[in-house]
Amino acid sequence: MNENMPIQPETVEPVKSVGVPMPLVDGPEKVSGKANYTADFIEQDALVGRILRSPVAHAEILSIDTRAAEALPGVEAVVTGIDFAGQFGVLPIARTEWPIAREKVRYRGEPIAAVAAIDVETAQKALDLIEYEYEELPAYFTAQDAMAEDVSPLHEKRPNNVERHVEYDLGEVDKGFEDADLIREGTYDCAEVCQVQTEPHAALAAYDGERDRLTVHASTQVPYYVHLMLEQTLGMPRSRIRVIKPHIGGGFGCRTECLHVELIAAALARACKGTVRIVVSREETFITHRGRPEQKTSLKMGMTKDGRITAVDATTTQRGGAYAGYGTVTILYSGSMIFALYDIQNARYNGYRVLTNTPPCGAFRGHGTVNVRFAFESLMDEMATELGLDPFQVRRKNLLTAPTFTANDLMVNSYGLPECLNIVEKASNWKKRKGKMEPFRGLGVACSHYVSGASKPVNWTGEPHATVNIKLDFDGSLTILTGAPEIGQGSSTILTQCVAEVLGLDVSRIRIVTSDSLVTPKDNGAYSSRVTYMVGNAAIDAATNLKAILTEAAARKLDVQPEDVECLGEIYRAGSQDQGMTFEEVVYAALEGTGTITARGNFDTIPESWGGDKYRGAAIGGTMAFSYAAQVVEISIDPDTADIHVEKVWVAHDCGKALNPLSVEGQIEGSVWMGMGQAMTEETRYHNGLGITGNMLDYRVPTIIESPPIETHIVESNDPHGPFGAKEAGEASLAGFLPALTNAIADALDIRVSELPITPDRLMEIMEDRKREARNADEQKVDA
Amino acid sequence: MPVRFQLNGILIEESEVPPSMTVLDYLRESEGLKGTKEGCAEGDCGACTIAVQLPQGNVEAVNSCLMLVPQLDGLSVTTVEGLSQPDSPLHPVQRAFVDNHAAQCGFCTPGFVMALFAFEQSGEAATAETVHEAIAGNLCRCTGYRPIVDAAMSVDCVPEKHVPPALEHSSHYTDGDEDFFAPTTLTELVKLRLEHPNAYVYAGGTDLGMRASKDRESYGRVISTSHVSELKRVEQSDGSVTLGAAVTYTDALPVLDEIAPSFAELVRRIGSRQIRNLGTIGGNVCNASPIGDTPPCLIALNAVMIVHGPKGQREIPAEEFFIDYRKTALNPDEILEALRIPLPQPDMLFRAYKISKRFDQDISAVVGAFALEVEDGMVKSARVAFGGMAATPARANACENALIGKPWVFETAIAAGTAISGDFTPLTDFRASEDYRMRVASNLLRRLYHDSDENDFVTEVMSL
Repeated sequence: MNENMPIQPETVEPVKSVGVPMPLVDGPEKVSGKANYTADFIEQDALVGRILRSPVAHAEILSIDTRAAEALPGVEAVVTGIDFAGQFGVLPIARTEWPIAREKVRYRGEPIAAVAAIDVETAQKALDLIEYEYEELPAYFTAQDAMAEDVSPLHEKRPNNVERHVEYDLGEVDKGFEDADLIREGTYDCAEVCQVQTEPHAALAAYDGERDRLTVHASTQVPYYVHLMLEQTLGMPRSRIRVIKPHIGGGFGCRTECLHVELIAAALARACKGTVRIVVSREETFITHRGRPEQKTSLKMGMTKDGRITAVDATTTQRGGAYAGYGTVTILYSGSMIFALYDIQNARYNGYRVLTNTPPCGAFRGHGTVNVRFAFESLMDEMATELGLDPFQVRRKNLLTAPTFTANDLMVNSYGLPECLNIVEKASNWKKRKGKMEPFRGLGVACSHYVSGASKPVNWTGEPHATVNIKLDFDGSLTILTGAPEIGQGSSTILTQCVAEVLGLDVSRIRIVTSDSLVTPKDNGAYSSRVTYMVGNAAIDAATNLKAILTEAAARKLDVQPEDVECLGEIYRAGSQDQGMTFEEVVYAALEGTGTITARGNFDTIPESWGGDKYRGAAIGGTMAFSYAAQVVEISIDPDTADIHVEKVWVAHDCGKALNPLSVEGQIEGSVWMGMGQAMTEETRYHNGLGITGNMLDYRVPTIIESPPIETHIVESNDPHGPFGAKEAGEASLAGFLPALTNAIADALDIRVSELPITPDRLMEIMEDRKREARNADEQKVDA
Repeated sequence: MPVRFQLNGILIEESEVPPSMTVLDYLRESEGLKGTKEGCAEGDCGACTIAVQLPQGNVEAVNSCLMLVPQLDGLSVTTVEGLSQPDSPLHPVQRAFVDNHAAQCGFCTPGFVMALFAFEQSGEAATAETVHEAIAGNLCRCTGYRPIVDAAMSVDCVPEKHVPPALEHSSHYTDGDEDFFAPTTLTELVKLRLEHPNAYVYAGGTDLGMRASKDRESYGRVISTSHVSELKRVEQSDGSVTLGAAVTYTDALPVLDEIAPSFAELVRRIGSRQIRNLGTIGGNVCNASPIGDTPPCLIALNAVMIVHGPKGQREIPAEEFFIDYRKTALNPDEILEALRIPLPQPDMLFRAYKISKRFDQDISAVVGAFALEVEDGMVKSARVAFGGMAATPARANACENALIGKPWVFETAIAAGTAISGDFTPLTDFRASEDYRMRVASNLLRRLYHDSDENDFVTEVMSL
């Protein structure tokens, strides 16, 4: 708008921001290389931090001698486990991990010492000078081995290496099976997968010895949790710590908990009263892991002839790695979410989270839901085929009706799954094509869902779930202050849009400052798809409060009641005949007597969404709203090489309301694509606990050639509590890909794949086995 | 002698940094150009992609993590910071990334932008295929790539016609402890090889470069072949094509497209465009990996290795060049000068197949190369070679014998496929199992047959 032109009130309208496909507010920095990631803060005085890692998977540490390293010129600090005051971890009851191992190492690559030196070469030399003695202990690389009898426990408090066993019964499971016309069982295996975000982990820690203050830049999704863990592990008052999250190169869950990288950098900085930068290698990023566990799921399902599920019995075991991490939450999620997508009244669940001598697992996108969803949708599809039912029909037969509560007490107020199914059925031309494909081609469908933030936070403090401040000053610009971490998911853009929409202003008036504990309100972080829903609502609340202040100020000047003031964004007026006041004039009026305005907004969940008390841990899974997705995958298979080619994916995702359709599409496609990686090529592998896929060549994330066209459809079910009706958009569409793919393979080859990833050699083996069986059967026929 | 290059339009004479410093570290740590990112330090992810303009004028994308500073000699380098112009802060490629939501977390973005900048500068038309090829060496974890392709397709910009300034060549760059020799003639190269038998011969560095980048090794002495004019030649005579050992994959592609399109297709799947702009067939051959992509093709095509030592030139047939696991028939004082590939006869059926888990950016599990002469429906001659089936790339004699003298029909192909089990006992490793390797190698004969007869393929698949 030209500032010299008088504003014509009759032509002014509030600017629409919500629902507008808007490029990211931080796009220009990212494309021009100006966006600074943690490794980009190359301070002149920063020392290089390096970590010495365990060469064995399980051992008692007998001694560590760092004297020679300390004596090396250029070495400024050496730290080991004894330099820390406490352990870290996710759940307050399971903080079992030292930033650097003490007494025992439990996986290959676990830190055993760290140095800060003037350059990489000196730091490396110093690591080589550290001497240590250890006595190896029996190590377990599979859940099965770790749970066997007479094992040597990884942690004293877990004698059988089970971190958590979750067990519960809902409804009448045995009766449910009695009522079934068909009962089938299956076992489903998923390999461990890693997020492989493009930015390796990094931390920059600066310690101010004069004032005993610590500033840490960290590549994290949870700066507040990092803050807490710094306090706990360093024994420093939290008031002396400042945590900043700069731009970060993806998360997908691997940075949803505090990692040892940032804690070690801080300890080194404090030890040498200086600044230390640790940028770990890609291999170390793999070792740090926190990915999705290797998981075996045995599932039993009962179904009536017309496709109604009468009972489900699921047992799942996760190889969790050496520390608890998010493990308890993961195994609880697997249970609560497997039954909550459909209307299932009779369900039994046994979940085992097992400690093993492998890098700790964590909360990978679709946390806890993906591998069990693969099992569920596979068996459901198989049974449908056996009963001669269409896969869509079976899914429709088991839908919920919103508003409702699931059998495990999870609140469902909006449920766009029926529409998702309709859309992908039509878009893929399912009815005409299913079962009529050429040889070696197939179609498969599956559904999935996810939470929009956990209704009960891990650290219950009594504070609201989210708080946003908006600062407004003499210049008429608005600054959103939020702790919500922008991690590439677009949260800064969404929050800006929410504020702009409420105030009717163009986004160009608004700037956003995120994730710096010095200036932004505390936020729990970017995980479990909580930001849009919770922080979005807080942003709307803050903007609404600010609007009330502005409206009152305008009313005073216009000499009317506040309810008579009409806000048109750039103009506030009393009635359509009124010339009104410009936004700047209103701002000046509002600042009179008060000066700079800070409007605060909060968001809290409602108790109905907390998950009830049907079983212990029932709160995990409780959310204000679930998002839903359905997808159809079309594939072709090369009979010579057993290569699977994904021809196309049709996905429909119920995100409540697409606040930014451009960004929502990006999130949905990214999820589907990531599910494809897990289903087809990705897996971490270990040899005696040594990672052998710790690089981007051997851990095969799909390149552009493997990436299929994804036709995305947005379903808007308008959640009653969501920000402008919005729900989660960035996770639910992941899980559905896995079973949709294997269901498509079943359609193409009549082979049910139960082990992922389905690489060409695995599929070839199954195809060859099948041929051999057919040949044997033929021979037997001839013999007969 | 300092190395001279242009960096975002500014002439740099560098003589301070160690020769084994990677260009990526140099840009970030010495020049403060932090837009270029390190994602993997081994040429897989493409986050470190920069554009270099060669003295001839063409602009190419390369992985700065795999390049050593002395390799910049004579080049004109553009990093993501060099794209903005006074009148428009964002280059059209950058603008398209913002508008198409092609950057989410943004970490891989500068690498993509530079790969596409180089693509735009090449003047190639943007089609799905060309764009895919241009960014196959860039990994993104957020988008699923579609928005990036949309961005690439939406850019309409005219290549800038800069002629880079001619810069004085640095034939020896040293910091006292380490040397980087960059001879310009074959005589000099052979002499240096004789004087420094322990030096690394550096023919692009896409494999060797990882030692500096990932393992942070310093090399001591390196002899680069990149500037040796005799090793850069691509010559076509009546009966053969000669490729200098320092010809990059990219530069070899036009002639390979002409003489053996299937070989060219396979070369297009080596690494990524960034890798192919640096890497050389000579390097691939001398690396002598059992899973190298080009050796089976060269063996099947009956190529000859021309090697050069102090006593002059000698020739070694490709199939005799690979004598053991990662061992060649080169004497310690010899270097590979060139490869001579006989021109395939017009009626020759030549096909090369690469089997890997990922289409691009992957190491082969199996490579099969087949050169068959079929006359009047009969197989007159057959040269079949495989990689990934033994400790060296090798011919499949039993398979060949099952073909020669037989009618070229489906049954012959199947029998020849089965015969491979007499040629090899492959290993199980994590690229593929023994069974898979054997099965797929055998199936490649079926594929070869169908490729030679399109119509038959459809019938066959229908009956499977």
